[in-house]
Amino acid sequence: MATDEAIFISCQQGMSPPTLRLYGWQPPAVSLGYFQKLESAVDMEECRRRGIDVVRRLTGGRAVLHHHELTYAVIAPEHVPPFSPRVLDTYMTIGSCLLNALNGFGLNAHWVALRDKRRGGTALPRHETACCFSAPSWYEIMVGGKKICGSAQKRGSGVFLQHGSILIDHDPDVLAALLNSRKGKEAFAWEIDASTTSLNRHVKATVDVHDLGKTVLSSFRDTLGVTFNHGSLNDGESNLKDLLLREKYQTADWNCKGSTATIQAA
Amino acid sequence: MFPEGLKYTKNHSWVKVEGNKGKVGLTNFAQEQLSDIVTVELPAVGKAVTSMNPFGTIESVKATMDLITPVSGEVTEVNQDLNAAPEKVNQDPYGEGWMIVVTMNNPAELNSLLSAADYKTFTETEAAG
Repeated sequence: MATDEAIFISCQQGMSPPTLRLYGWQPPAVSLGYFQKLESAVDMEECRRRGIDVVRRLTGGRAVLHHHELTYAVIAPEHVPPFSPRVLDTYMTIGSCLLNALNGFGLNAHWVALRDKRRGGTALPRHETACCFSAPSWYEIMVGGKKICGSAQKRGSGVFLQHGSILIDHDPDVLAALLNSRKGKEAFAWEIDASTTSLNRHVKATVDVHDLGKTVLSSFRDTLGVTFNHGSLNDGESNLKDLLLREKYQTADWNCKGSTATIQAA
Repeated sequence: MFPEGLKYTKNHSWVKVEGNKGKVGLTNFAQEQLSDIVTVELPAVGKAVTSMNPFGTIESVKATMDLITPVSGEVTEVNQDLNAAPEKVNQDPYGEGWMIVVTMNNPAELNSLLSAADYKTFTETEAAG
């Protein structure tokens, strides 16, 4: 999360190029949406018991378990083609890349059928669940009617950051154990199972994070018609990441924002 | 929807000036881009804010965005109704969806803000992508 924000800020300062970042998490972690309340969203005792970190994201939305998944982040100026100042257009552009990547594994991935109600579609209910994958939002990607990828976007100073999680595997019981729900763990696990899927439930050969990363990268390249230079953080990004880790993402002030609960540094 | 009499920023905030006070909100263009707004995080009364810097954060079903104040000064009023009804920003961005009132300490900043016509032109460029 600190790295994503470091690139985002650096891009706002004109010091970073448009960037696609693909990564996994070690140890696994739950990321909370910017506005989520820690105590109502996460079962901290269970997370500690299982060695799961908890960290708050810069972006909104609900909690994601980063385990057996690939996290992607796209950071770019809003006006740099093929992106757009329009939020949904950017979702569609990035989503097309993710859709093509998933279909490269033989899946029949599709957009969520819901649309902006002001454009004649159906309004989504306000989400009551803490879990990102429990309910689809507009323009998200599904397979067989279930969500396989969750994404969120942050905009500021003419730059956007969109990051998200593509599920390779998932266990609804584990997710229900780590997150809180007024429905109770069993009903929550059932709800997650009914709304969530993952890559390995649809392919014959098991996909690992490296396979998925390569396919996603190829799909961005082919779908957008762009080339990528493989790279690591530049000095400015790296220094900023260290600063953000120290002063934000490893602090209870940030991770427990608006909460009376406490967590160990993530 | 670009009401005359307001000043605008390229960060899609507006300010309505009355004496030394500026009422600040998010433009109709921005709320349409964000789609359904679910949370608005605003500063406390008494907070000092600086022109063209964030004073809060807004979350819609698809994106979060920093809220940028067009003017510097002290926050003297906050629209607490948005806690329970953030959708007012969608429904009435220039009315009930207002966010904060700033007692300005540098009214000269107003000279660098956009008129309704200039902001309309800017959004047309944005919409063209």
